Amino acid sequence: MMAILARLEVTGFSIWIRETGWVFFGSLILHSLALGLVVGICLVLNLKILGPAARIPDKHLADFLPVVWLGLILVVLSGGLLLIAYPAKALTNPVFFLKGTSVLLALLITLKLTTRRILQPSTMPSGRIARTLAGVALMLWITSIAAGRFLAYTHSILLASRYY
Amino acid sequence: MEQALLSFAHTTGIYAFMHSAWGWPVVESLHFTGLCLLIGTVGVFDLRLLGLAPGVPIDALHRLVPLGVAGFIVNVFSGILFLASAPDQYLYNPAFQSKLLVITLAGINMLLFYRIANPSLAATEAHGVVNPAARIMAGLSLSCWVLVIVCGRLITYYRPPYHWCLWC
Repeated sequence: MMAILARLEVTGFSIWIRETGWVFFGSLILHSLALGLVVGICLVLNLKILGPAARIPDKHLADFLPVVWLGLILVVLSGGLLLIAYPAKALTNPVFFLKGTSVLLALLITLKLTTRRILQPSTMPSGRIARTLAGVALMLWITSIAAGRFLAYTHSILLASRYY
Repeated sequence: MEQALLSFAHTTGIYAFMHSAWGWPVVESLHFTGLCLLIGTVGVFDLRLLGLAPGVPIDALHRLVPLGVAGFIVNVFSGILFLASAPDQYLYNPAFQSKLLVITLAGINMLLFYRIANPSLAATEAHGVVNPAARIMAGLSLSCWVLVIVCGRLITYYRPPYHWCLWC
């Protein structure tokens, strides 16, 4: 595993991202902006079910989804560049998998709740269950943000190629 | 200023908390959550005024702005915790100074928006054409918040004694 990560780190592409200031910083910025958009809108979509954003009409929720998808593409693209730059830093840290799992679960619940509300209101779970799910999604989004921040503090290996 | 902030952080216990193993990343997580709330509400409202998602009524999105303000307040308090715990990393850092300046510009833009653009915007039908003044201010607002995030990331991208500076 470490040998594979070390080989990835010494590829020209990984070195280029890591050592070209504007590329690495640009990826960080893009990741921050895109996650702000994705998580921000998803927080609002869940807050709509929980109450504080209840006044957005259901039929208009769908208009937000293309923005979420666009943001997600940018998050994955910028996150992918950061991962290729320092693969061992993330992939040897369990916090990275906590982040990935919470993002996937949060996204699944948020999109499922939102699309059901728009397309199949009859299949929407009852008020209490929907609110519980929205609350869980909200906590998962905050967990993913926290895991992302903790990644910068909890890694044990920065570069695998130092050992190979 | 630096000493005053440090003694405030020490006497209130902020310094000890922020320099504990979990302190800094926990407050950073709060800061990022506040950022998401701001972008997800004020940022999306700006994008709507600029023409995105024309089907969504403007007033429905406008009602979300208080959530963004709540996110901003979270970030002011979490930001004070950072500043008080490592004032040397912030006070002399051009990225931090730029960030404060851009936040001030965003605030002025918001005041102007409510004085100039919002009254005519309120008269606009929910799906009507947004007036040019409101569009310009929405563009300025969005640019300011993007710049605030860029400056925020620049603050810690370099560690003291190194820092980013466009004009030094």
